Amino acid sequence: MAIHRQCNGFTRREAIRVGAIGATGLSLGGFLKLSHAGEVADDAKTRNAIFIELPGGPSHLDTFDLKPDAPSEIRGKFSPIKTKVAGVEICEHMPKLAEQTDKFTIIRGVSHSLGAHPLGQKFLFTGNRPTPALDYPSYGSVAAKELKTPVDIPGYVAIPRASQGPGYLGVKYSPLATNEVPTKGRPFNVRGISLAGGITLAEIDRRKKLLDDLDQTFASIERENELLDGLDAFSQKAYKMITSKRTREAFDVSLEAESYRSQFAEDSFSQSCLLATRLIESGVRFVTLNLGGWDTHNDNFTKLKEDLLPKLDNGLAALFNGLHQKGLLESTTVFVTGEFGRTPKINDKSSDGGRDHYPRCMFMLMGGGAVRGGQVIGASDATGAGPANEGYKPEDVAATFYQAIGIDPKKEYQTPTNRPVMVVREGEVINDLLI
Amino acid sequence: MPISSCIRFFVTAVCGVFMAGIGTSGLAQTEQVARVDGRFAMAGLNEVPDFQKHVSPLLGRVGCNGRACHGSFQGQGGLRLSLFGYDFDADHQALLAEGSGRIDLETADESLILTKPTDAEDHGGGERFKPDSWQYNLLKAWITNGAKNTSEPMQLVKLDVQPARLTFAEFSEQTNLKVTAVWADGTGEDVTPLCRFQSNDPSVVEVNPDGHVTSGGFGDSHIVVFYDNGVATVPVMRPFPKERMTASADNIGESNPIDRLVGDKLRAMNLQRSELADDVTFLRRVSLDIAGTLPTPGEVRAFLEDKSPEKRQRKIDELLETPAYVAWQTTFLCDITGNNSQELRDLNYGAELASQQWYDWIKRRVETNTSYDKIVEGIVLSKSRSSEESYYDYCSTMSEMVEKKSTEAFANRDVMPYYWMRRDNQDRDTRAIAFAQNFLGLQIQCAQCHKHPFDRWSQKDFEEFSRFFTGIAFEKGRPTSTEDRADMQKILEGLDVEGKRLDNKMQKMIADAARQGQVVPFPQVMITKPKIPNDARKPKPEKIKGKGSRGPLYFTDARLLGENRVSFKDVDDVREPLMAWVKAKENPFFARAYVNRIWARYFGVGIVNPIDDLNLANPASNEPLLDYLATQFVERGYDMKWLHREIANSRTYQTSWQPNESNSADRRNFSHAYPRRLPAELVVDAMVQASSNDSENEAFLEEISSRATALPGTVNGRAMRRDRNNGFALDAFGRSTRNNNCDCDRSNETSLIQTVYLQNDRDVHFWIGHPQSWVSQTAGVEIDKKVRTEMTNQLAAGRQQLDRMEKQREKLLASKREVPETLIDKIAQIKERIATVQKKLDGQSNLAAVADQTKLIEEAYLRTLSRFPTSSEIARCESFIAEAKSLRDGLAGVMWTLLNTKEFIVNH
Repeated sequence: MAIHRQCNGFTRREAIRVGAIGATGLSLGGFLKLSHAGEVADDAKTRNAIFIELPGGPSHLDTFDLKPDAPSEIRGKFSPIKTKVAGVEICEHMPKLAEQTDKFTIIRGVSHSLGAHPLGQKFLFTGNRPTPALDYPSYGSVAAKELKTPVDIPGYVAIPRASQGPGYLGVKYSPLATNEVPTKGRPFNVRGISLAGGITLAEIDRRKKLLDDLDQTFASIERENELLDGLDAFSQKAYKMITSKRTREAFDVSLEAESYRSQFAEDSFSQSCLLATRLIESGVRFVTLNLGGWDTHNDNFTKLKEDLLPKLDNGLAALFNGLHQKGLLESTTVFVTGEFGRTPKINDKSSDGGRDHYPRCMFMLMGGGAVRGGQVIGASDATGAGPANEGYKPEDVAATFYQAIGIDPKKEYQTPTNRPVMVVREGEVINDLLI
Repeated sequence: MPISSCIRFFVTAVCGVFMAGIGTSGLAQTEQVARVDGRFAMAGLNEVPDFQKHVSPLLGRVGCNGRACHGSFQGQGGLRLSLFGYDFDADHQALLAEGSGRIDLETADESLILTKPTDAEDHGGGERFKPDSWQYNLLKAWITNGAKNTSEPMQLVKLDVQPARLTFAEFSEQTNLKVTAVWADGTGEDVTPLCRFQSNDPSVVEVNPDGHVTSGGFGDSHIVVFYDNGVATVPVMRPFPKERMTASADNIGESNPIDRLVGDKLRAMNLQRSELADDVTFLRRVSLDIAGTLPTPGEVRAFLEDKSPEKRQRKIDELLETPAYVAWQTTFLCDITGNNSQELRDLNYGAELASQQWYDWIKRRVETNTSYDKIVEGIVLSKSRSSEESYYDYCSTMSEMVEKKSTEAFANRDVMPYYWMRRDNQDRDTRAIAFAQNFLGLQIQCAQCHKHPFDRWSQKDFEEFSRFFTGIAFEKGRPTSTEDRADMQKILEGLDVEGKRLDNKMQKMIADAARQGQVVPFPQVMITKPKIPNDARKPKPEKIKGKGSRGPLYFTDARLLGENRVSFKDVDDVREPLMAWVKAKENPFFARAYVNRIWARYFGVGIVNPIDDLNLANPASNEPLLDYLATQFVERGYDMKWLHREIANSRTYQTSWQPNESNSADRRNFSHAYPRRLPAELVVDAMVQASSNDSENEAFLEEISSRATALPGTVNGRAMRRDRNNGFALDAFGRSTRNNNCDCDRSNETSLIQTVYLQNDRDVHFWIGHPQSWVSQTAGVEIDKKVRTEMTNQLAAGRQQLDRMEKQREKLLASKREVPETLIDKIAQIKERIATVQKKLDGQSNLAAVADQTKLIEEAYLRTLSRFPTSSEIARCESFIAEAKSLRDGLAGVMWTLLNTKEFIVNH
């Protein structure tokens, strides 16, 4: 393939040379050791992220991209309100978020062409357009690979679990899934982290010592063997995590001050947001959570007004404000997106009206971290039917998100079949979105 | 990014250049034209370059049609070429597009395809070649002669590469490749400057764009050459240093052909086999591989005592007769055929039952060792009912199955149509992709959109192959035929359902009715006979293009992969010629795909890797071995047990995992065994088996109903939580997701989640300590079973009571009311009572009561690692138990520790 190297001056030779040193050179264990070393040298450039999925596809026209001047069959029932940032208006049913618009940017006029939920989610929640030939990793899995984490803390946590897997990066970059959502006022048990079966820390400790002494069968080949080396490294990390007070406490939202906790509502989305801020504070680098139910083919306005918008408003406003209070907003990028927008024209499937899948035009939110808040970038046309100008591709926003958390979106990985693939295959960083 | 983003660089590979129906002879007689770089070195030559033979390959060679360049589906700078070429009409059209200025027939030098790549005109891709270079002269000559397209692509019959194989003794040895194209008209040309070259392992060998080869480190791989639609491979070997061998590599008998063929390669590579694995290692390995089951302590002892020389062979035969083998093999076949309950949602009577029926249909056939081709045929040629069966009768039979939740009757049917009812297997393109991967081990999906980058398939090949999948109609709702509709009406009238729309609500009512024993309508797979249009009428393939295509066929033929077209005339079911080709003796994929997959189950790696990617650019690491297994598998009537026996009985399979000095770096020649993480289902089963009491432990080979290998389908997402059968662990350890048509749907990697699970999951603690566990059986001996049950019940009741009271207290506290003293006392009392019972139940008895701790430690080792502990291991465990607060705690700790060793979780 050498000829194609010249196409953009890219050469694989160096990467290959490193690989040629042998399995030990780039083994998983080596990788983990590097990342352990990173803990010591943790620097100020620390970047964390919270990714919020809105599966179902939220209507852009009724949330962050209202068209008050459009004809009524498009405009819908909601009115815009002014927000903290002059000139930026959002839907009237999100008054709390209106107070936080200085902390994030509204991206309008994002456009793509995949109008089915599974495909759209695969696309938007991985940043790469799905192909049948390759499973792309979720944002969190890439972050788990790239961002250094303290040895006793999981790098990537999903509340309660992530819709997209680690794809070609492999199961080692799966999130630690909480499996449950914290409920206000109840102790929160996370499988594998909370001590189970009546076992004590002292006992785990005793057992671990026995394990270290007995687990010697493969000692002679362990360092040469990626599987065994990886098992060993992960076993050490698991032990450190299970026995770590700070990890256990990271999941215990009841330890938050009442004054802080009380800004989060009782529903599971707000409680997930609360947990997310606590996890980030504890050293977790990437948290994925979600608020579903946006597939409003029927009764769009009732569902939004009475359920979805209040939940999003409460949770997200508290999340931004909470991060700010904890002093984490500058180091934590928050990215919020569904898989598509919804049709400008309101359908008549139900008396209340509904909107159908519409990938040609959608909105996204991004804030905190390296993102320049308090603005709107991009625009949709007069009826929200498409981008006003060139618009953005989901890949552009994906590239920008990675850039914001310090991951080069053009970095190249090798799939298990050694096919080279960039983190984001097509996107260009949107400079207007970054500081 | 370079075009290589779409190219895989294989770590492994090997062998035969095979192009359909072409031998190696005839090259000598072929008249050979010299290289284009020489011929066009000077401008003004009279020769007219050919679009297919010269211009198109040149554009590929200089990178124009790469995916970061003009091969991108969006094009680049307004020009779009077909990715990886071979779409001559489209490319010619793009180049000659009116007003584009790419080709200027009047003033050739002004053509953009000359000014751009020479960077005379600003070019995003920079300079690709110089003015007056041979490339420039060639393109110019083509333009001045009218820039003609190829009328009908000429068939490339052979791509000959010299030297045909390379062996290097030293690092950085150099040589040049010479590539000759031989065309259907008998002409030949040295096309070296027009080829693309790729090394499958650049650490072993590198090749530059001109075909200049440089040797690298020890190992073996291939160089792959691409030209036109031809792919040729050159095996390259760089043998390991001979002095690392301490004995002759052929120190074993090699009576098994596998051993001989593996031995041939080992000798060529100066690799010495590792020793024969000892009896306990072999027993654990083979029991897990064949039956997915750990040997019991009794089995290990008996095997060691058995002095017969045939004991290994006998063990293999025994294991192949167990229900556990059937379950594990059935799970594998469900993996490759995609038994995924999520995808069976369209079956109104319940995807879970359908999934179970699918599993049981295969299981029935594995039990009787039905030949592999028959099993596949039963799936591929399936339809929901036989020609004699009316829709009413079909519905009546199926309804009865639903009522009785029967899978037995379903397993008795000849065919298994659910494969065609998968939601993700409905349009002809995805069916073609799935079919090729599932049964042929081919990844043809690239060719859906462009020329396959590492195989011969063009988009046309793909389109013509996909026509075989147009006759299968999945009638989810109302049937198509009038009689069936009448039958359905009759059925609906007999039901107490209102309305006429077959919507979700109605489907639910129907499903309920079926469970109550009424006859209900069922979805069905029907076959549409191809309608051959009159000669006068033009075929209208566009009529059925697109998703969910069904209905009348307007295709008159289809093309088998790498073969001739098959006419649809007089064919009722177009899958029949397809299946006939699949199971024909000479089919180049079907048997190879299966034996390669089975090989990978025994060795962790296939002879071809990735195991489901048998493309031309990805040759086998040992072609004679793959060929032997595939040929013999066909010869033996696709006898699955023969293959298992043949592999498991080989010395190659029974080799130790301990490497020697010569072979420690070898990963592709089977010189020693490579440790493999247990597959997800076996992780769960092995932990349950190792920690359970004696009678359960011993039943694992025979009693499979509660095993993870007996789970029919696979569920994910929200449904996973309902999967009481250890769905969490199975997903964490990467059981097959069965949703991508890829063998990589199953993962054998390691992860943090897995080790967290092993160390601290509630499942693991539960299995080790529950009342029926080995630890309870052993350390709780003084408690009578009846008493124990009573105590367990007491405990549960006590905890419930405690829970209630604590809730009561919390409620009071929350409402800021006072908590009465009596409640506080009661809570304390109950807590104490629970602790006392728990203590008894935990076997807080005196250690002296238990006789021989060494025996118990031995037992724990045999249950988990299937071997006896060493004396120092015993000593360490004894001191651990001595420090424990009870024997029970001590044994639980030892069991936990052994389950957490690498030796346990790895098959070695």
